[in-house]
Amino acid sequence: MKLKLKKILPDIIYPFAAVGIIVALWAIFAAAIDMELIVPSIGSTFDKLGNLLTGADFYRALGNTLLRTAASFLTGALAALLLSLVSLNDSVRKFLSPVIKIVRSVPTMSVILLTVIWMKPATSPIFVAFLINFPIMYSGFYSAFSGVDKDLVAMSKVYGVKFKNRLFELYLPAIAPAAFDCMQSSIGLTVKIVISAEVIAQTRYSMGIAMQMARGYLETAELLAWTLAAVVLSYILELLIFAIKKAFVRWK
Amino acid sequence: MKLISVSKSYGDNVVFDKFCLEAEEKKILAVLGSSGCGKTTLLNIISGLTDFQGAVEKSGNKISYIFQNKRLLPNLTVYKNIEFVLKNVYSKEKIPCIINEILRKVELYDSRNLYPSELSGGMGQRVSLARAFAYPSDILLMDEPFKALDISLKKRIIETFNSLYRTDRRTTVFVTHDIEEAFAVADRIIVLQKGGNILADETLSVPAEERGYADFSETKKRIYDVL
Repeated sequence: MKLKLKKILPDIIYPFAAVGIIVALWAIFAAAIDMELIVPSIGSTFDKLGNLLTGADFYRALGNTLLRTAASFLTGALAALLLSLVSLNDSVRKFLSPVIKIVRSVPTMSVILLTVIWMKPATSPIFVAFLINFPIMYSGFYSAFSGVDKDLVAMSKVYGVKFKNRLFELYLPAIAPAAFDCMQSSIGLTVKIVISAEVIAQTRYSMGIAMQMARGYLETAELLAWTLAAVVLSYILELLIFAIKKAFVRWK
Repeated sequence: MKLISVSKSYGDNVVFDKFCLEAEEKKILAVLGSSGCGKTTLLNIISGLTDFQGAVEKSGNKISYIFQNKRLLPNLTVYKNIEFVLKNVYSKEKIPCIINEILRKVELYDSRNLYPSELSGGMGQRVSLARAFAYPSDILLMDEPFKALDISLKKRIIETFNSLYRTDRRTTVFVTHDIEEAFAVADRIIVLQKGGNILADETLSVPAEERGYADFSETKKRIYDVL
């Protein structure tokens, strides 16, 4: 029991210490600058957050941004999974390689500005975030697929195991730990990109436009409150992926 | 099963040059030889895991393979590992009976829900044996399956193998570098040299299960002489 507690305590103490330091620095800066417009106090920020939480507009914006994040993330993950799987074929991989490199190296802002011209404000953030998260997940999934134990693949071929069974019982479980880790780090990025694109695309009823309006009205505390909401949203989504990983990867 | 004029090279390294071999139906052929003489390549040729020139004539296409390392899927339990190779050959209703029966034979029925990481080396190798015998193969290939085991465990696993084989005979090619292992299970022993030369070819008159402590000192001497 004592040993277990000793093992668990650092997992609780260190993250709390890190958050505590950030909050303390925030409080020190706010007190030193003493201008709500530049650095709002913790109290006023949480007051604003409290106000936001009681209004329907907050949930509408949160819901819309969450839906865009989910749509972009899931299409990105699915496309990355399928294309990384077919990339096990060397010819396909060589064909896709320049496309992935181009998608990866195009500046985020160019993509956002171009899609704002081409697409509706409600859909462009989904596409922009897809273009950013897809190559990251593709690379992660592909390296996981390439790392699948060749001996097990050979064994399954000798025993004449069908591709469908190999896919679901050998390949996917083998890549699952690395793939979930990759998805966990991509989801936070997707939230960030969706919000950034919402700001530029002026997407109505979104967290991005709410932040933009708060900035326009010099409501710095409200802007920070929305930022806190975005951080919590990212954290919850990361936790959700971690929980799915735990449920799926039971053998480790 | 016949290997007809089989040639295989890795770059300049010629492993087999127009190699011919015949393995008797439902008998165990042990292939002895030093490291690098092409023992594993021979099994990979028979199983189709490597390309080659020449031909392999088989009485059937289904092959079981007991590898040196267990090659169990880490995400599947003992039961599911065996089921993995049977889904394509048996109906859903039949599979549980076959798996449970073989697991009882290898004394792993109580461990059927364990994952490979929870098994000892000997248990893992018994799962590998069970998988090979549960699969309805025409040919059984064995690549030094007893190599990584300590002496007492090796003895027990060989006993398990012999008891499974006694009731379910298959055309078997057993590759090893250990002459005692070969004498413990084989009906015929050949000594292979790199390039595909057969240095010795001995048929053992007493079946493995009746062999006990039979003295094959003369045969052993002939094999040791060419090794």
